[in-house]
Amino acid sequence: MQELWVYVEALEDGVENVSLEVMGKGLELAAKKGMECSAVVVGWGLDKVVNELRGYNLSRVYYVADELLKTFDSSTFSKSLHQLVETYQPAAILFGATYNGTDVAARLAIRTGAGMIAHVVALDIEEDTGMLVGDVPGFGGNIVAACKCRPSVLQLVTVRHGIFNPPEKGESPKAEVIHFKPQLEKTDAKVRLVERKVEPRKEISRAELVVIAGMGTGGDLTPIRKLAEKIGADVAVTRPLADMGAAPRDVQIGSTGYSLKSRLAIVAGVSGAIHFVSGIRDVKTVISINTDKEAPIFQFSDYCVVGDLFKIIPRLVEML
Amino acid sequence: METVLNNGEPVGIASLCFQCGACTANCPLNINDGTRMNPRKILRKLQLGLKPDVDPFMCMMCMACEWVCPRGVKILDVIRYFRVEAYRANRTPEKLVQALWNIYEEGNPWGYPSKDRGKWSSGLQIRERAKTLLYVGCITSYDIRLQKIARNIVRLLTDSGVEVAVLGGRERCCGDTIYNAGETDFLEELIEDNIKQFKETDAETIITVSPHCNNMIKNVYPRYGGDFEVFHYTEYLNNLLEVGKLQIPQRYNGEKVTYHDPCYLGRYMNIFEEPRKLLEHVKGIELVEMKLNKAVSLCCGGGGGHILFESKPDERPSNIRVRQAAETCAKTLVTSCPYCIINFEDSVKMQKLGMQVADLTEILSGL
Amino acid sequence: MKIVVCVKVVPKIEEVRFNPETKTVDRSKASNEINEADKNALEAALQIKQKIGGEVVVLSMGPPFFEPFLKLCVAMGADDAVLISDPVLAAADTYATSYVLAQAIKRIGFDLVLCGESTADSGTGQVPPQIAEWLNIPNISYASHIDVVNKKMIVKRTIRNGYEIVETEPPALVSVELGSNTPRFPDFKRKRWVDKEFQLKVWTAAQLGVDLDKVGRRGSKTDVIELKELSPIERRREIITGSEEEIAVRLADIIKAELTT
Repeated sequence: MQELWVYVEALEDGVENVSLEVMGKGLELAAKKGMECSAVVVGWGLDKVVNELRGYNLSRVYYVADELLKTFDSSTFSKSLHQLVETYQPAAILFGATYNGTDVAARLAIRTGAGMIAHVVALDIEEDTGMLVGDVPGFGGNIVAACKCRPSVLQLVTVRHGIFNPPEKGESPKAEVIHFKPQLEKTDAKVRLVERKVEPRKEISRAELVVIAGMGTGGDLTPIRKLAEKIGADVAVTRPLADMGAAPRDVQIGSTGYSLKSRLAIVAGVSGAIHFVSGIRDVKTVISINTDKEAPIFQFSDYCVVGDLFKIIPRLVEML
Repeated sequence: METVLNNGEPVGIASLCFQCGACTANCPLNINDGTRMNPRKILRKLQLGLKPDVDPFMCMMCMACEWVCPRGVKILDVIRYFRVEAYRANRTPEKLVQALWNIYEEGNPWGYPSKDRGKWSSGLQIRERAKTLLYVGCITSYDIRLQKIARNIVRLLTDSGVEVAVLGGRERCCGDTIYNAGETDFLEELIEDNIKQFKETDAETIITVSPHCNNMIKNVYPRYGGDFEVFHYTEYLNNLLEVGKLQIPQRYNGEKVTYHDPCYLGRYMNIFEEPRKLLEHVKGIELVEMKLNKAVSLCCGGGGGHILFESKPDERPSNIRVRQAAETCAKTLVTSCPYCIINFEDSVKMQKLGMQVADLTEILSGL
Repeated sequence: MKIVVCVKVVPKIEEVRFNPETKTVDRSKASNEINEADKNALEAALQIKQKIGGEVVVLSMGPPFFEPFLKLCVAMGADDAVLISDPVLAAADTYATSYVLAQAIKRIGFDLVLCGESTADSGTGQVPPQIAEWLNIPNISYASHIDVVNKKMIVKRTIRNGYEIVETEPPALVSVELGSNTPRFPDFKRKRWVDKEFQLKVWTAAQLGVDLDKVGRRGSKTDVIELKELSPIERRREIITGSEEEIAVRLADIIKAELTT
């Protein structure tokens, strides 16, 4: 039976969320086509992760382990994965479109001559051919191309985070664990890790969902924070509010602050002067709330509400 | 030191200084405690053949120093010299380097799409060729709040029988930001391209909206072959007023307004009376003066490239300026520079002063 | 150190139009610019050259209109520029593109290859690791800082919520994070010389010497089967009216739809 693999990226404490999301979709597509779905983990000292993965309805969990794979290096990881692919010959491999995942998949694509469909936001499988069809956003996300690999021994797809849902866990651990020792030389590992620091850094420019407060809030961010918490968004402010100290400068939006590339920005109490709007230019959907119907912000919004944010936002939070 | 200015080396300029310190006392950067900018010291070091320790980009180029100098020392030329030197040594602030790229790629220092530049005039029928060209400028073209000013000027001119053309989407930055950044070669190309473009519209007279653009086109462009008659809109409209041609709606209800003299209009171009004459012509307006008016006007903080930078709230002269305006009990603070308007609206909002900030054309057009 | 910087010229995104009838992307009226992240890569290369000396060569694969942009890179400080231009190379996916670039890099010779993290138009981020695989060298992606000390490269790279510092030796490929530095503005005096005197190298597929089965449409491993527009570039400006309740309900619907897309 043909196999669809899901490449699972391990972290210090568990796995990347996107790997589970991809697994959810992988299991669904495999079932649709009558294929088996298995997970692949590459690394060292990941027995706990591998064991936990068995709890999902996978057929197998391949564990590619070697001490040289202890830290990430796209060369060693793709070389090892290539050897696994040659041994077990999957039909397709799905990756989360993380920095590391993309590097591994890309190198594997060259090694195997496989097609690679990048950071898809939708994915389906053709029942007759078993070919995957992925929707690839381009040109700033406004134009989407449906892409397919050319017939080959393998198909590779990377999937954007936040698109699919993680799978439900199975009743009891059923998946077989296959240990695989890759053939690696010490000279293969050319990238050495010197230091790694994970610090919860506020990177507002990479936030996907943002609620922005302007002077219309008078500096009172309570309704803004409640809304942000409800939808899992970051809170940002305009320059005058950062001046007032209502929020730190590293969440200030505008030409002298940061620019957003979010999917959604809810802009409350902001008039929309030009030095602010340049910061939301690349946001996919903008919802604005302002009491002034002439406020320039409405020219730069997709949905415009002329109203009092202190009344509307609490109601909105109730509805969500 | 290399000569980069028309008027001679900075050492030559400094030789006139007799160290009275009036410049430093008058600098808006020194208005709060401490001396952040010390032109007197800079000039002294130059006189002694030493290298001054100065961040030339801190200066707002407001000319308050030059105006009070009893010896007429061209202090801004010295600042500009150091900016050019800093640019060549790669010490230009990042924001200005980004602004240079933006002007090169999109025709404005903020990088707003060049395809949107002409949108301010949508709905208005304006010619592309005439003897009089209205040069709108970057921020006025793109900012929704400021676009009204350009539309007002077009209406005021056409109602007064003036045939005016605009470049619309083809207009590019006047180069003021490049000048501020200390870059000289791209500036030359841009100015030459602009002059060619102006000539292609048959322009003999150019009216500007921003005093910054005015300074560039009137004072700098002639060095590169630009020979147009250049007026700021306040001058031009005042000329129309004096020959009885200016048509303005004159309804106002005894409102008090006060007028702020923008640095680049007042001190740079000696234009103090024209805006006032225009305001006085509007029936029902009561014009009151605030302190530090006319030649000693306090800078809003937007010049010298500062409109692109972030600043600490307690270091913004516009905060003080709007309080001075509020002290007159005027309902509206009127001015005639887009940077001043942006800074004042910000300061009024931040300090919750409840005043309105308006451009002169908005008063003339009945707001 | 000899550094090759890969550069792509991309259309200005806001000027690209989607034709819903023909379902094609119309770039014909869009003006072009150097891909922003590639400027960061070039700046990183120039900083390394300033520190330890060497040569910086910019490389691109594309139609002839790429030339003035490569010349602009030379005006920024690059020493040489190579353009691989040939109709047979067009419509390439990342597999075919990376193959061609890798062959060119081999021909030019290098110690280090720098790329921008991804391009503004397709944004796959695949070409840098793929070039590295063709050249059989290590790749380090999303570098925010590169230091070359004693023939060793110390690279700080961005990871989610933090950073890593890794080390390797040349030959290697590093892709540079967007916005990790401020690209210097071109020297316009140098640009005048470049525009008048400088000749960049333009190689056809034959001159480069590539396997035609691996290039262009023929050599690609993926195909676009359909184009769809996701959302228009102009803002909708839809006004939502009604009672507070009604507005809240509508907004909640919009937000929920956005969260599940």
